[in-house]
Amino acid sequence: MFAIKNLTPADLDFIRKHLVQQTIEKNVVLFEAGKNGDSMYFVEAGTLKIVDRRSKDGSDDHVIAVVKPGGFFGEEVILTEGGVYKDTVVSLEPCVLYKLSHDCLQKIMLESTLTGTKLVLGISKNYREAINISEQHGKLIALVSAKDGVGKTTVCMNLAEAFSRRGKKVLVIDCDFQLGNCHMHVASPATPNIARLVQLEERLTFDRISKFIITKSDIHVLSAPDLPQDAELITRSHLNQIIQECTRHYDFVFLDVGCHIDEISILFWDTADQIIMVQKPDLTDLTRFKRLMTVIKRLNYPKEKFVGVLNQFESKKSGYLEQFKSLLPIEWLKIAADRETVETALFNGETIIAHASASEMVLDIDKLCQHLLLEKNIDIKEKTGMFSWLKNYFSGS
Amino acid sequence: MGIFKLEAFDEYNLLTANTSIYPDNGADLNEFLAKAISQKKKHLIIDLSKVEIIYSTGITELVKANMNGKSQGVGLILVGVSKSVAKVFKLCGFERLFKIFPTLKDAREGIS
Repeated sequence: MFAIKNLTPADLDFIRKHLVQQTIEKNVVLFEAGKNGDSMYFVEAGTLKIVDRRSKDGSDDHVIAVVKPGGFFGEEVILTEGGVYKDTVVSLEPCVLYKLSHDCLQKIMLESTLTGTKLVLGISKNYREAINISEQHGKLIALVSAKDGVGKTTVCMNLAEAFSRRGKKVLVIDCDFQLGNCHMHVASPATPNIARLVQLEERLTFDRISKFIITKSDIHVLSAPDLPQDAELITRSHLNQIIQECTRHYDFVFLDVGCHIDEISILFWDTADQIIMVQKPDLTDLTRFKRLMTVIKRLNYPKEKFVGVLNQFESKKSGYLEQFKSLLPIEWLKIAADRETVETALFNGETIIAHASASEMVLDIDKLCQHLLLEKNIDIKEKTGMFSWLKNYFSGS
Repeated sequence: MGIFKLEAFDEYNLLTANTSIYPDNGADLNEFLAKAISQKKKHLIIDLSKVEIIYSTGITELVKANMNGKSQGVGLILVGVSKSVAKVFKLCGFERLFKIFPTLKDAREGIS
């Protein structure tokens, strides 16, 4: 019934006795954002959407999430003082819900503190994770693109090398969990890797994580799994723990993020101090970038969080620069195209910086590195996004 | 150095957690708490000053121990609760279940 771990069938029966069943029809607004309430809901049957309602009739609803059977919502009024719903919830089909009010929870706690504790810990999971990821030290930089093959990994690995040559302690986490290949840039097989880490280590402390990090010269890489299917083993909770531990031990942690939009990608965008948008000047990349931006804009990140990089740039394609600027009006830096150098360096298992230090491409990467190291650019306090919203909401800011 | 350390004093037992409490520490914590409570000293002070993160397993063990302790006349006291752990306790409303003192010194003064 509930997607909450550690509840035994006896716990579930006990909890269910204290809940009130409620049936609603399709398209019913269960509660609205900003309204006071004292109950959260568990979904037994049917589907509901959590929306940011921008017009009264709901014609301009922005869907934040869809809740299916087993899921729950509205926990903010139970967990925080004041009892105000943050979003609006609308049923997408006839639904059967179980309602848990403050009073019900108190009764559960009084009758069985242990079951009540498990329930509270279950409904507060997202909030607790958000609290745990708030104490970072090193800077987290995510490299994001709208399309594969734009050279994101090449830029990432070379930036890491440029940073480490400036005395910074740098880690690259290959977050393209199905098909990532950061390890190739350091001439290593994809073992050990992040999937082995989460399989073999129950406690993701840095001393355990460090055993799975590949090191070549001063570049440290936590590789993507060697088998695409192992990507399934890596959860958001694992990533929260790994990021938290690694940012404590490195000056900079680079996330080479896969180019698709899902819960895990959004976690990376949210937790990153800075997002480097790596794009290539061509029509397909431009159109895909436009679509990606429709999602990213909704997350209300501050503009300062972004740095644009137009990779594989050639002067004959300079018209694209304005197009990208119009979609994301920030500073865009260029990295010169040099396919031959990139391929030779990759065959040698080297970064371009190590292979051809005087090339135009290396000079451009160096400029990007200097840009990122400017304090005004890396001290991004306001991150916004879904997880940051949870943190801010809880802390009352 | 073990993850948990139990020391006996005249009026209380002191259980110190030397690292964050992760899911796989739950059984150890349970064992130490049970041992401390079985000695039936009036107070069991739990020093969490080295705990930056506490997972649900750890919280559940603390709540269970608090209930067991109460039934056996042992009061649990938490000290050195970090900002992030305090946030978790406040979020879940568990700060009302425990006596919490900022430092070990405060707890000693509070029980004497």
